[in-house]
Amino acid sequence: MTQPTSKCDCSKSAAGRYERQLPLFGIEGQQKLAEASVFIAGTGGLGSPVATYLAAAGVGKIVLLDCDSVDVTNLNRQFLHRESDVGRKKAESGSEKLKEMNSEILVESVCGLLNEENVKEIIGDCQIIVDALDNDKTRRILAAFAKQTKRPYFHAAVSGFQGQFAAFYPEIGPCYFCAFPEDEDDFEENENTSETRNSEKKKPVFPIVGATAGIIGSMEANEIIKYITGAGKIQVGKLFIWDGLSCIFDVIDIESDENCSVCGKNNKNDGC
Amino acid sequence: MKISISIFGTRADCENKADIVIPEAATLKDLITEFSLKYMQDADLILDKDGNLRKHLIIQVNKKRVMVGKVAEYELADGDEVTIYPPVSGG
Ligand SMILES: [Zn+2]
Repeated sequence: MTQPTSKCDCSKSAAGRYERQLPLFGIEGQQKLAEASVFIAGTGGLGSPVATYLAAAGVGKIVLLDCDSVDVTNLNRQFLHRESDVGRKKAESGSEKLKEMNSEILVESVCGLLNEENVKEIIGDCQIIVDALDNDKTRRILAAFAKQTKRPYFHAAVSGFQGQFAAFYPEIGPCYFCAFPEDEDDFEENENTSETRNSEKKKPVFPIVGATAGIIGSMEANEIIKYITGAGKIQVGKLFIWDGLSCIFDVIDIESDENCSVCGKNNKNDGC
Repeated sequence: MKISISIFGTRADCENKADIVIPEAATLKDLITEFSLKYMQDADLILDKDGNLRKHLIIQVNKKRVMVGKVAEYELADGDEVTIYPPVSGG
């Protein structure tokens, strides 16, 4: 995959901006961050912490996707957006804040809905795919694309005081569809998507405390930084589930499913 | 036989944990169906309109995952511990 052009010359800023993280993965790790390109789908509760920590860490190129505009009810958790951003496109508002935070990186915004037809074009040459979405339908489009094009896919979801995180890698371990087989009559799917929120079939939106998204989004950013820099050991085939009211994480082993619709033995997709 | 069943997370809409006595040779699906109908205010979280378990649930028996597609044939043993993780999908 071609490397994106990054403005980040980390040798110059390493001694200053990144000084406190260099002992963890060295100038080599910092250079890998500078050369990395990350696509973040969703610029809301999860997207805010993920994008913020990746920008702060010096990820060279970040593309933010969101089809929504900032609503006042977003402000309890979506800290990339301010009161003055209400009514603006979330992807634009978010990318503006990231550029303010780190002028050495490239940040792009895409205001639109992701679908099977445009996923390839929208993701472009971004090497890493991050799920900060609010619905399962779009997650499946992203996850299938990630598997087919051999890119890592970082999944996160939150609701109330609960959340979950898992990373899916192209060459090793299960895929998103192994973990969550498709359900035609999906309970949550129809509830929260951006498409249905604006439609007649509007249902109550999910409750959420901002700190839940902060915890899970920060885990996601942490694993992405580890993956890029090579620090520590990546978590393969693990689903981390958080209950904020009890302050506990459960870890569930996720196995590859030989009958998986995306990576199973009976499908013809590349990279599986 | 007696099976311990719990639902992950702190919930207001159901008992978090229960010990359920079920007949010998009852399946995991029987147990979860009974739990959701008897202990949950809103069984829709667990069961679809046809009474099948929702595929997005994560179910563990003695800390090992059992895929939803296998619950109808999975026979429980006395003392098994079952945990249900309801789906989370917001962002
Ligand atoms: Zn799979």
